[in-house]
Amino acid sequence: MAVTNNFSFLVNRINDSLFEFTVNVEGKNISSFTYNGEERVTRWSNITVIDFFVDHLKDIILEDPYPFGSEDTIGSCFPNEKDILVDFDKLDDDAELAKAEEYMSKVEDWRRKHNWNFYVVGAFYPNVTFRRHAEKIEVSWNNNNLYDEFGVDYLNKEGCALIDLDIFEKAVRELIIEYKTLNHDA
Amino acid sequence: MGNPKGYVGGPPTKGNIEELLVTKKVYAPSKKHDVGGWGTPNPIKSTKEGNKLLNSGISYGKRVYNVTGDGKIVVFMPDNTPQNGYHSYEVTKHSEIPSSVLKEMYKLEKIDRKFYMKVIRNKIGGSNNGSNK
Repeated sequence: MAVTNNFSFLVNRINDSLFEFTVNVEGKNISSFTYNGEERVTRWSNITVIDFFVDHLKDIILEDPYPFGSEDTIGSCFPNEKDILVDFDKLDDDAELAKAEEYMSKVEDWRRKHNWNFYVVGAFYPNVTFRRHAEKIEVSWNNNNLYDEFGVDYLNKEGCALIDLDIFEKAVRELIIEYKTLNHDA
Repeated sequence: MGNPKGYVGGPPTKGNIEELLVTKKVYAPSKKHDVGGWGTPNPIKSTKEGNKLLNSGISYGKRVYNVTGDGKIVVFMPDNTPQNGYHSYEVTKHSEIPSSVLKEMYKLEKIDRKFYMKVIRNKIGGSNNGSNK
């Protein structure tokens, strides 16, 4: 997995009611997708990842290990099969289903703090997870089949990188300030 | 007092109860979803269907979740307007649906066990990105 400090978020105002948002890792724009042969990035009336970072930046940069994962999955493009402790073939059994529900609830509590999916409902955002590992932040993305039922095809399907903690935090804070400035100027 | 039927995500506060009992939610579809290629389309076909699903849905904070007649999960988001309007999206990543809402949908038989099991699998990571595959 790459260790890089080539990492940034970019937000642009397109017009009075639209913003464009990109995530860049190692020179790759992981927000890029094609739709009807046209290359696009996330575009929406509000950039709700801002709310995600305002609510959860502290959870990302502090030690908050995945509740069921092992350290050896760090850097293996989360989530890893090793992290999944449910036997999906046994869910017909009520006791197994109850165990899976409990597991799901704990996984969800963690994911809500480390992946922005819950916040970005509606718009086509890449699927990205952030978690701390030592003095780095692991950024992992998995865009395989994401929104393909709507004709969307992401250019960067999956990957992960380790970013210095201070570089990551700086990128998030700059994003929040830039977005607030753009909104204020509107 | 128990939770009003279809409300999950914690015990009702005085504010929640006032919201649930006093203010009727109004379906107000967003033009954002009329144009393809930027976000998930709105699967609701009429204002009547929208209002019915909105006012019989499962609340989670400010959001309301429900299932359309053809089995698509939708979420209603408030517009924060004086009319108490809500617009809707199709939920295409199961990871976006709160577990408590999902359990309530199953309990209220809005979804069957087979579908519930599929969503659990996707939410936990069976598809690796939480999408509905």
